[in-house]
Order: sequence, then structure tokens, then C-alpha cells
Amino acid sequence: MTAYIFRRLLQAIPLVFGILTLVFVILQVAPGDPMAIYMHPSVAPEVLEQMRENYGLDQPVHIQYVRWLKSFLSGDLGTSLTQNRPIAAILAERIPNTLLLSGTSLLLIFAIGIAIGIVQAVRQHSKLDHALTLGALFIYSMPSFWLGLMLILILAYRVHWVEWWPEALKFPPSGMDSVNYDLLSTWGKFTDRLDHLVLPSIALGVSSAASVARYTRSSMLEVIRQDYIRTARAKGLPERTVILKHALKNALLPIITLLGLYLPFLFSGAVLVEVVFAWPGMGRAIYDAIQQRDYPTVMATTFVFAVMVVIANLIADILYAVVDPRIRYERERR
Amino acid sequence: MSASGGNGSRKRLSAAALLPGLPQLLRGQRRAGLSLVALALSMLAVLVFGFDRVLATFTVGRIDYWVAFLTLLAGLAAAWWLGVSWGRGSSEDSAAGASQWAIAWREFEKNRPAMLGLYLMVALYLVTLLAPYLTSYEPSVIVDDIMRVRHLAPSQDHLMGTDKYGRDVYTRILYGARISLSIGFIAVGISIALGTLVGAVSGYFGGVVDAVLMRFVDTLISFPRLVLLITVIALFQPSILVVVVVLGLTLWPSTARIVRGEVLSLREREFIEAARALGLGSPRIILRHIIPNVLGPVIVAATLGLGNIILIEAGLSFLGLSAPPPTPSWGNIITDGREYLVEAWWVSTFPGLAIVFTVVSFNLIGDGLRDALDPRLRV
Amino acid sequence: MSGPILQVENLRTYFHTADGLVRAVDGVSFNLGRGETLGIVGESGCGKSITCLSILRLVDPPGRIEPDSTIRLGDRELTRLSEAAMREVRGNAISMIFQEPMTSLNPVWTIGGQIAEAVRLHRGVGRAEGRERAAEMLGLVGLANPQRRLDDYPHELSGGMRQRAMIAMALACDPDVLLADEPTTALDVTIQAEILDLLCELQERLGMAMIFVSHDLGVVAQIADRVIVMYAGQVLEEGATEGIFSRPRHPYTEGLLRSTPKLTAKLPRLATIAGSVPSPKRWPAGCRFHPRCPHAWDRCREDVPPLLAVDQPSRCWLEEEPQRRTRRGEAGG
Repeated sequence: MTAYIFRRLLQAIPLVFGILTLVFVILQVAPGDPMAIYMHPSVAPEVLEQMRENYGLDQPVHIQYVRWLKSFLSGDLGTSLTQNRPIAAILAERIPNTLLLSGTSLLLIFAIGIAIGIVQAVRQHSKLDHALTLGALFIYSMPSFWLGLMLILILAYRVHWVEWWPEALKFPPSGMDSVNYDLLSTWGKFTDRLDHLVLPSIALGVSSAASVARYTRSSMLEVIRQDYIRTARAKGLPERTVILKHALKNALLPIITLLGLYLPFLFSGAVLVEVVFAWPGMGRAIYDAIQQRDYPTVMATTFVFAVMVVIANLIADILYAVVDPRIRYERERR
Repeated sequence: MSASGGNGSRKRLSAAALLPGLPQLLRGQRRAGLSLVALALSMLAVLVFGFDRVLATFTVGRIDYWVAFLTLLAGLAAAWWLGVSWGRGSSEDSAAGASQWAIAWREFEKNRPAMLGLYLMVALYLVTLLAPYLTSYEPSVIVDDIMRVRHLAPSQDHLMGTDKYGRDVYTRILYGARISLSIGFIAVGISIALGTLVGAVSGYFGGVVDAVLMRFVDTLISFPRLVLLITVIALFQPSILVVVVVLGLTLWPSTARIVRGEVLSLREREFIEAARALGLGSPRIILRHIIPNVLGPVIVAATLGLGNIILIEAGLSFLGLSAPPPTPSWGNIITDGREYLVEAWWVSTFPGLAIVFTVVSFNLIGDGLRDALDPRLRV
Repeated sequence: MSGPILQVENLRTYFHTADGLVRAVDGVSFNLGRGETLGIVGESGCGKSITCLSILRLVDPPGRIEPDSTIRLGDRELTRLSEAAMREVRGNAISMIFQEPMTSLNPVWTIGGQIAEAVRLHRGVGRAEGRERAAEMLGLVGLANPQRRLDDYPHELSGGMRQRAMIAMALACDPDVLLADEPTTALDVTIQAEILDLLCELQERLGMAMIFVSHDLGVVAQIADRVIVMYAGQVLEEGATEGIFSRPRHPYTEGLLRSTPKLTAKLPRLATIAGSVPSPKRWPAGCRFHPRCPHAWDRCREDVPPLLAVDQPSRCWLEEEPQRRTRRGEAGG
């Protein structure tokens, strides 16, 4: 097991190098003077000259590449042109926010998606099954940012025109917390944050939830046909136990690997959803940086996003190995 | 069905000339008949209700008017031609030994949701091409009297209202469809071609080539797509060309993976062995023997990818990183409406619905194709 | 012996599919005495497995047990029990073991857990007791080191060991009836023999009744007291094992016997029954075996022969017109 984790870690290393290299290559092939990305109204020409020297842009490409690797791997992601701060410091503030949003979405995706998938599989070919399949198709085909706007329009604004609508189901249209956040009690802070999380995490998560539901459904249907399900029934177990204990675990195992697939998708969505909801995360950071032509920040954020995906995949793989006794066994034998 | 009787076929021909699809309907082929009737009638409706705009084609001198005009003619011609040729072909078709594609098509035809998706897609393309005839407004022209026409609610004059510059949202969505759909198609074309090639080469040669290419694919897949896209596009300055190329270049890895998997299993099959034993060169084996055999999964991936790319393009243009402003695209119309979301909900809502229905239709077709082309599912 | 433990009467299990009615089991009747082993033989697709699954009411939709089929366990009519009451029967009064030991155990739960589950469910005992019983059962079926095996996952056991574990699971609640659906078919020959011996021994020791389904006549001859021969969803012949094997009455039974390799007799080649089992969607009219029967005449094509209540009943018109028996049948193959 340890050996497996170790080997899996080793596999991730070339990937990080690949990511770094690709980011470097993109910078290199971008049109114009490589320094152009640092040209900014807020940067004086002398500083630019100084930077050119600092970055060794007069040096040959391979030297530049090694320098770039060194600085990124040591955690020095450069300096933001607009905020005059190390990019690492900026991102350190933003990463938890993005993780909070994506994490909540991920919970939502798997909780809702799996539940619906089970219901559909158990009631295969029923009206409910067809309705849910159709609904999932539409939700799956929705752009997250548009769904976000629609949620804001309806659940943050329009509902205020409806008298009987319960207060608890009116949500704030944007931001991470209310203006009086600092004055709130711990519990108050928690509920306030939760209140702000509802709409963005739904907007970000539902389309993936629809696809998880679809996956769970077909995975469950596959499992329900298996001989061991008949064995479980022949033991006299109630249907509930058969489904939730014997079928579900088998059906869910492959879904764990989906975790690694959904995360890049979720991060992509996070850029849009963070823009729509003014959520101060990494997506918002990269969007703002693009708007302000702060390219060093753009590149660094891209890099960090990719590394987060690699880490997530690593976690998903290890989790899978831990949960599935067959894999555990194979790995040990090898 | 004796199609040989000269009398019968002449009668059918005249019925088809009267209204394409009529003979099919009379023979009880409901699906073929109804779709032909619908196609012909919608073309006629455009001709009747948009006749002034059809006439304008000859004076306005803009290319989209000419495209619309040709589409109209082609649509009418296609309806009639199909009406006649289907009437003839059907009897021989069922008798002859059906090819793999014919079987797949028959399977696809039985799939109702997939056919619905196909009709939706055909309708979408017709609407896109006929755009100038379907609206009397111009998509990007801002009238002088903005205050009077801005943010008008949906009404008979403005089916989907007007935006903050007083432009007709319905018109902008019609024209925006062109951008969204053509970017989607070209980008998918590029990524499918590239992905198939890389996947085939990787799977066929194996070894170092495979390892290097697949590590590259892994690397690309590690980036959240949209993040990589916006980074590159921002660096290269957004324009439609850049968006198309970058989308095409970043979306191929998943196709490459699929193709590689298929090729790996194909490589060991007898006919490849035989081709190799005949001394055929690798490029020839890849092009002539391997690629045709992986076409099924690739087509499925392409159709599902289209839906995906349309969503991604919408996201890009929502962020202002696709077609630059006065040109309408579904994403940037939504952005236009965002500021005044509460006051003028229609501006953001309708283009979003257009995206949803488009993507739904591609997904339906893709699912249908998968069922039709996957022999493992066919009993 | 106080009457049969299990009485099946006119059991009909039909599948109501979109393509039409599939009469998989079509009027099967038999009795199973206490402590008796009943063999069910027949080619694949003749309804043996569905008969077993029907007894436990485990036939998946669109399969359905038709009304006025009766399955009586002691004094309980199983077809009329509620689902909850039926669950009480499954794994408790009637247990079943399946053909594929490789896929019949849940791969993600331990052997011990899967055995204990049934015990805890039916006996209402706690975790520790369930585990203890599981270990006891694993020992009973001859697994070495049962305590250690409890925490093994199915993939860590060989095929034979898995089938032993399946048997342990089925017997954990001391069932009155064990349904064994081709329990040895998927195993190696040597292991087949071991499992057969084990089943024989356990049956004697625990005094349960057993229905042993197999297409392998040799295996059935070894283990069964009585045999029924099934074909096309019906019973064609029924009788004591000895009688069936030495004096088969039905041409189908004869055919089956002749197509079984024997060590003693040296035939130039194995005889086969011409043709194959017809599609259950369209059973042949009259006697269902007539298209493949070497003796068939007009009556066989039109009228359905009855299964008369005699010593070794055979569903064949030859019973009434034995002179119709042709030489072709014996010489053929």
C-alpha cells in the first residue's frame, strides 16, 4: 500500500514538470516581446529594464527555463504587477475560498447525484426515472454562469416581490459574506457564509451532479444484474439492505475515480461562477488579472490550478486503492 | 411494393411535386413524410412572410442575405429531391445487404430522443442560415434614439425584448448562433482530426512515442480547460480566429485517449496483422485500416464534444474572451444583460435558453449515435 | 417421514416481455420429502434454474409466477406470503447456492461478514455471535483456519473455497431445504468431486432436503435419491434415480443418457440428441419434444401427452402406444 502511494507520487512529478514546461512554452510563444507581458502603465521603463535583466531575458532560452523552474518550484511565483505583492501571497488568500466553494459543490454533486442515480436505477423505466433523465439532460446542458445569473435573478431578487416566500429561501446575490460579517457571532458567521455559499455552489455543481446521477444510474443497473445481488436477496435481506449495502458500494467504487475527472471541470466552472457571484477566489483572481493585463499573475494562477488538479487526482487514486479490496490486493501482490 | 409500375411512380412523382413528403405519408412512412412536409412548409412560410426581405437580397448587397437566399433555394430543392428519391429508393434499400453504417442509421432512426435532437439541429442550422429573412432588425446597429427603444420588454415587435442599446435580442440571438455554432464546428473539426491522428499514432507505434504523447496528453488534461483557454487567449489577444484555433488545439487530448484505446485493441486483430504481413507501410495501415475502424467512437466523441465546446465558447465570450463586442455571440449577449439583470431579465435569459436547447440537441444526437454505433450494445 | 417438506404444484413462471410471452416454467409439479435429495436434470434453457428461483420468489421482472401455481413449504403457501414473510423464508428455511462461485459472492465485503449477515438477520444475534457462527460454518465446510478466513475477501479464495464459503453461507441458518443450482458446473473436476462429497455429507449430518440441479447426469446419479427430467419448461419424466438411469422411459431421457460419456462402455462416438432446445417464446405444439424425437408420429404433433401418476411417470404417448417405438431411436445418434 505504502509502496503504491509512493509510486503514484513519483508518477505525479513528471506531470508537474510538464505543467511548468507548458506554462513556460505558452509564455514563450506568445506574440511579441516576452517582456511585453510585463509592460503595464504602472511599471516604469527603468524598472522594466531592470526586470529584463533580473529575469535573464537576455539569456538563452534554456537558461531562462531553468531559472523559471527554480523560482516556481521554490514557491516564488513572481510579483503581481497591479498589486505589487508576491503572487504567492495573493493566491494564498484566494485558494481557501476557491476550495471552500468547490468543496461544497463537490459534496453537493456527490450527495445529490448519487441519491438521484440510485432512485433512478431502482425505479428503472418508471415515469420518475424518465423525468429525472430528461431533467438531468437539460441541467447537464446548462452553462453554469447562466444558471448562476438565473438563480440570482430569481432567488436573490425576484423572491423579494413575493410576500409569502420564506425568508430562509432568499439568498444574497454576491460576495462571500455580509457587510456586518465581522460583527457576527461564530454561529452567525457560519450561517452567513453558508447563506452566501448556496447559490454559487448550486450553479457550479448541478451540471456535474446530473452527470454523476447518470453515471451512478448506469453503474447501479450494472451491479444490480450481478450474481451477488441475487445471493444477497436469497439470504432474505430486505431490498433496502441489498441496494444500500451490497449494490451501492460496488457501484460507487468507480465513481471515486470520477472525482479526479470532475475537479478540473469544477475549477473551470469556478472561474465563471466566481465572476458571476463576485466570489473572491482564484477564478476571480485570474479574471481580474486578465482584465488588468497582469500576466504574471495569470500564469501563476494557471499553474496553481493545474497543480491542484494533479493533487486531487492523486488523492482520488489513493482513495480508490484504499476503498477497493481488490485493488489493494493486486497492488500488494505485485 | 412494386415500384416498377410506370403509372404508380408517375403518380407518386406528381404527389411529391405538389408537396414533398405527401407520397411517404400516404404510404404510412410517418416520420419521413412529416419531416419533409415540415421542411417544405417552413421554407414556404419563410418565403411568404419574409418576402420583402427576400426581395431586399438584391438591393442590400450583403453576403448573409445571399447566404439566406441560397439556403432557402437549397432547402426547397432538398425537400423536393428527397421526397422523390426516398420514394424510389426505399424498396431496394431494405432488400440489399445493409452496410455497417446503414445498420447504425436504422438503429439511430428508431431512437426517438436522438431523432428529436437531429431535427432540432437541422432547424437550428436553417434558422442560423436564414437569419436575415427571419428578422427585420439588424443585429449590431445601434439606433440613434436609444432611450426610446432600450430595454423594451418582449412584445410582438421585439419577440425577446431589446438590450441596453435598443438592439433586438431575438435578432442578436439569431446572428449569435452563427458565431457559436461555427466556432464549435471548426474547433471540433480541428480537435477531432488532431486527436484521432495523435491517438492512432500513439496506439499503433506504442513504446516511446506512446509514452511521450500520452504524458503530454496527461499534462494538458491536468489543466482546468477553461483556465488554460483563457490564459492562452488573453496572451494572444481575443479574436474569433484565436478562439477557434486555441479551442481546437486544447480539446483534442480526450479524443486522443479514446482513439488510442481503440487502436490498442485493434492492433492485435488479424486484419492489421494481415496488412502488416502484406508489407504495407505504417502510414498506410493507420490511414486505411485503423482510422476507419475507430470512426464510430470518434463520431460520438465529436457530437458530444460539440455540445461541450458550445458551452465553453459561451463561457469564453461571457468573460469577454471570444468574439469582440459588437458581434453578437450567445455568451456576450448574456454579459450585456448582466448589468441590468433585474430590470431587463430577457436580455440574459433568452440566449441562455438558446444555449441549453442547442447543447441538449447535440447531447441527444451524441447519445443516440453511441447507442447506434456501439456494437456491444446492439443485440 | 411425515409428508413432503416442499410441494410444488403446477408451477408456471412466465416472462412478460415486450416481444411476447416467454413460458420459461410451464406447469411443473413435484414433491420433496424431508431429508431427500431431488435431482433436476435437463439441457440448459429448459427452466431448471427458473424453477429454483421461483421457489424463493426471486425471479426478476418481467418474470412472474402465474396465479394458481402453488409452492407449499410445510403448511405455508409461499406464493401467497407477503414480501416480508417471504424474506423470513429466504436464507432461513430455504437457502440457495449458485453456479458461479466467482461472481456470487460480493467482492467488496469479507466472507465472514457475508455469512454473519444472514445469521444476524434471521437469528437476531449480535455481531460477535454472528461472527462466531460464521467461523463455525467455515470450519464445517472444511476450510482450514476458519477464524483467519473470516476477514478474507472473495478474491483471496480459490474457486472451490469460494463455493465452500457459499455453502457455509447457505447453511448458516440450518435451512430445511437447500436449492443447489449447478453448484459444481463451474469448478474443476477434482474440486467438483470434493464439493459433491461435502454436500452429501452435510446433508446427511444436518438432515435437510436438497434440490440438486444439474445438466450433468453423472453428478446427479451420484447424489440424488430421485430425479426429475425437465424439458421446455415441463417435467418429462420422474422417478427414483436407479429407475431413471437403468430403465429410462422417455425418449428424451434416453437421449440424455446416451449422450453422457461412460467409462465402462466403449462407444465409437458419443450420441447426441438432434437439434436444440426450442425457443421458450414458441414451444412446439403437442409434445414439446416431438421435433427432436426419433419416434414422433402424428399424435405427438397435435396432442399434449399427460404425466400420469404412476411409479415412474413419463410424459410421452409411447406410454399408451409402446408399439410405436422405432428402432431408429436406439440405433440413431
